[in-house]
Amino acid sequence: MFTRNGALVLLLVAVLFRLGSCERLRDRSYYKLPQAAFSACVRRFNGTHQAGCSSSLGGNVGRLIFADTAAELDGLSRDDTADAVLAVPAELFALQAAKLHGLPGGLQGLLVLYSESERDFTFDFAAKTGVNISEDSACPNDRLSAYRGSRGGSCSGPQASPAWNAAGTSAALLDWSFPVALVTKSEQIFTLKNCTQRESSLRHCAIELRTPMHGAASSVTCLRRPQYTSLISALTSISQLMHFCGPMGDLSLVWTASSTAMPTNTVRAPASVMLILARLDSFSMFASNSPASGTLTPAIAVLLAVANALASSSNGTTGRDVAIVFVNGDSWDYIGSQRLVHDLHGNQLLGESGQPARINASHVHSIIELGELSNLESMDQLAAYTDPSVYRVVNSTVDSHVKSLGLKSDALISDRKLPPASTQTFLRPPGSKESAPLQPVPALLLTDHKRDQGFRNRNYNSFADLRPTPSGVVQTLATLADRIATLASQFLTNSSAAKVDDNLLKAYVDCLQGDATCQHAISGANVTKSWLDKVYAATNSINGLIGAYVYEYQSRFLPNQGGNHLRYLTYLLLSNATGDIVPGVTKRSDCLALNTANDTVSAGLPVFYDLTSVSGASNNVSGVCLRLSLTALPAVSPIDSSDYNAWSGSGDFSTWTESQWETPTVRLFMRPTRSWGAAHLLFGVAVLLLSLQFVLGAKHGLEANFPVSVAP
Amino acid sequence: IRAGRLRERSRRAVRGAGQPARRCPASFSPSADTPGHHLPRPPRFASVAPDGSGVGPDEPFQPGRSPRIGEHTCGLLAELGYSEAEIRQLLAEGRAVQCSTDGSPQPASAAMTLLEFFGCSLISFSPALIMFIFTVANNPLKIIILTCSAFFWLLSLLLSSIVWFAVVPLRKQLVFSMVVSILFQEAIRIAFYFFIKRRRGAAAASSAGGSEPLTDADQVTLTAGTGRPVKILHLHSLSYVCGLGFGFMAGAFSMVNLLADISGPGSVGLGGEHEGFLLVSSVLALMFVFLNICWTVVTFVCIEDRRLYFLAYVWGSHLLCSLLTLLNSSASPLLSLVPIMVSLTCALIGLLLSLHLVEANLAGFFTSLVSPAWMLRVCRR
Repeated sequence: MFTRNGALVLLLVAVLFRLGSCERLRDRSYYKLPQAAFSACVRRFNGTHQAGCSSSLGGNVGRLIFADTAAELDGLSRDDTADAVLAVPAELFALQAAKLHGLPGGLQGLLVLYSESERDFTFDFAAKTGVNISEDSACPNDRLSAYRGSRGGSCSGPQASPAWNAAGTSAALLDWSFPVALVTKSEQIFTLKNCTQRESSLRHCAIELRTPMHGAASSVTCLRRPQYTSLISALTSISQLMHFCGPMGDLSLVWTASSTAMPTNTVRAPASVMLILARLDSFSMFASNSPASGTLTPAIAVLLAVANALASSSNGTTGRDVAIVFVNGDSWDYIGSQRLVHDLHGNQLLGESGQPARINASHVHSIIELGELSNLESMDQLAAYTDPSVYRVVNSTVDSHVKSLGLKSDALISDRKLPPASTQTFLRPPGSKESAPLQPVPALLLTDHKRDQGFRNRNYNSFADLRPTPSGVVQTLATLADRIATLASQFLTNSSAAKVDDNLLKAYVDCLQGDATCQHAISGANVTKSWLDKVYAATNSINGLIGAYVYEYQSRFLPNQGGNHLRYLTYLLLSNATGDIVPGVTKRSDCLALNTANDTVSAGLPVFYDLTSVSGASNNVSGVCLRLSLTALPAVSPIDSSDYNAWSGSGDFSTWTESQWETPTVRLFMRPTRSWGAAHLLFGVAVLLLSLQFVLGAKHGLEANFPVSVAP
Repeated sequence: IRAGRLRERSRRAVRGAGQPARRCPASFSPSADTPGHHLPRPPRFASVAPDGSGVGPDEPFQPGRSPRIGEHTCGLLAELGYSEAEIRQLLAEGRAVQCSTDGSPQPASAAMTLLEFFGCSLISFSPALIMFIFTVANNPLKIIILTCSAFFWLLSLLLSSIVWFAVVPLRKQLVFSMVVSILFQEAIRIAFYFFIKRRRGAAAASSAGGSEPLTDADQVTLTAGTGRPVKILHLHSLSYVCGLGFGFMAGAFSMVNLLADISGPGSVGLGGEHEGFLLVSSVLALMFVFLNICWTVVTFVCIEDRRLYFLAYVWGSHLLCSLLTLLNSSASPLLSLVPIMVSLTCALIGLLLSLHLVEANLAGFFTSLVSPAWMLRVCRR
């Protein structure tokens, strides 16, 4: 009987829940912000510190309060911020990052409101608001600069003022004691503000930020921690060790101009390779919101155009080579360039099967690095930095480069230390002695900031680094690209055959800024708009915002889930710029079959691109087969994962790791005030006491007085 | 004083020997200038406090939390012999790191919502619980009857949900499903009366001898033909127990979802509900617990006594009270008072009617309600 009843009750409950089509109160009571509407501040570690934010495991909950101006922020008392989540506009965050960071304990979280309309490539954050936000320090990457130790860092010495990144707030490098999230959609910002309209004396708006990070303390702590869980793993036969954080990193890209002429097994001559570098990454404390159009787009576009010009012109067999290198991860203490230099000095760079011929340190002829160029209105503004001590040794090559680039003599800055740039790692390779002089490599850093200036991009490494490249600047960039291509071509073949196509350069700028119509200007049929749209979709670009954040190294192969999206896009554009289409091959299997064992013939590896057009609507996969001599190199610290001494920062390598995290959530809801909640409880207790009296009184009364009649 | 002495001693040690903290290679590195001399390793990043605040005596030990980065910087540096001014300078230069010591994230608090949760639970269910503990729990027979009646109430819900499912065009009409549900509830109440009646009849018939002296005010013990005593409940207390079972289920079904929904960090309100929503809901649930007891007592007794016209009160008040809850709206919270007041009136009428039907002494009953006489009894025991 009982079991039958139980089964029926279960059936009934199941039926009720199936049939209940009404909106549940829980669904009405919580508003969960869509994933695309916000990005959470994440936690990272170096050898000794943690940076970034984390919520508690269950999420931090606090009353939602707003501060729109600095005065309002100053007016907040300790009682106001206790048990609250503060929402501030991005301008205020930019101005008051240090103050916000130091808000007293009890604050449960911080929301930075940065609305959608301010987030496309037509908006210049600094210009519109008059506020600059750079989340990097005033002297970026100083810990591992070429001038570390007794040389005093790259922000000291003659001509040291102003600091390179004067707008730097170090916001992304601070350890925040509460979770922080960037809300980026106008609709959701409106919802947040609208909620407070419904507040009353009895209840108020509250918000829950759940962004728990698994790692803690420092790289060495969280890398070592799986060891302590391995016993549990062994006992519970879980083969995979638990993972709390992992080294940051991605892939650097290398393309060499003479790969066809020089098979893999070629031994290069000394000083026969010119390296032309640009960087590929940026960061923000809000990992998924790390655009870098102001910092990176011009340099990448110029380098792509140069690569295209060199690939299109015929390469001689002079035994010389030009390597176009896109360095990745350098925002985090030069991860990418350190790995590159480590391999260069260890004679491990390239030379593997299917790659261009090996390059070692002695093969390097000179280095040209493209720094910030987003404000380069005319060639007169171009500055070429070279290290003073190195210049004294190798001034002839440097001077000849400056002359070839058509620069005036005052454009060369040889009396100030180099700005933070990948070149610094080449001048002082990891592991070299402090007392040793800098490597005498002729190196030029081309930037738009002159002798008495710091970075002109005031949003260096921040969520607001969205400056579009003006058309005037694009014109200058074309000139610059042409001169670099000519210089490289002269070096390669003693002729100036390489010519940069201005329209192509503009197209690259557009592509890198998320404008899919850029394909019109790109010659060759192998790029279509739908294909680019797919690329943008894969890179999660929102409003054309292409993230340039380097995640954990192990996520590098998943462009739609992790890895540096800008690297992914650059890889595709570089394949387009340098690859040779194999005519007549449109199927994947046919393309891959071209990969013969004869890998010393470096005609490039066949790579297949699926270009299924959206309008085609059939399932036939059509694509393009390209022969590429493009190599992706690991851009991750070469420290062994068990070398905890090195991970604690004792060596010369970057020790940045990134914590594991769960999908962050932000929920908005109403919450009773403490007194209104207490009123409920008091009322409940009163009902309890009253019913105790009534029931016991009635029972007593009935037992005493009730006329008992016997049942029939 | 001890700390001061230690500091003084370590300062002397530092100045004298010039080789402090050799055993701490992670925090100190060899000095480039003086061989054998160790300096604090400069921090990689200033982790906080550009203003150098927080230089002072050691933080008191707080059990149960791990130290924050830089929390003990000042204490350690002071132990090593650095003066306060020197420490301030180190902090200001960013060469030492001091974290704000009061900034440890507190666990998320859902305290306010929890207060509401427990308050509403108490309002809705504490009377039923008290009734159960003091009038039902001491008798296994009553517990069985209570469970049975609760099941019958669920059965009525099942039947009404089948009808709701079958009549597709009216699914969205709340009035329709409500009326159907009320009809089924009342039908099941009557059906349960006959079900119980039959059981009692069978039990009584099987007993041979006359009734034994009463062992309990509301319970009759009959000796069966086999000599086995059979206990049957008095109809009045039986109807009360059934009513409690019905009422408890009705209250549970109106409140459990609500209570589950406010068990998280948030409460209602974002959907436009007014502040008193939960109070109104839980008071209404309480009313329906009580009303169900009255309705069941009235139904059972008036069928037993063939005074069927009293059923009109039961059905009428059930329909009235239930349909009036449709007035609850977010627009005008005051309207919610109407169903509450009407339910309260119906409950009072029901109570008077029930007492009248069971021929109780009204004055005595109401006096006993407020009289603390039971306490004396408890004390005497």
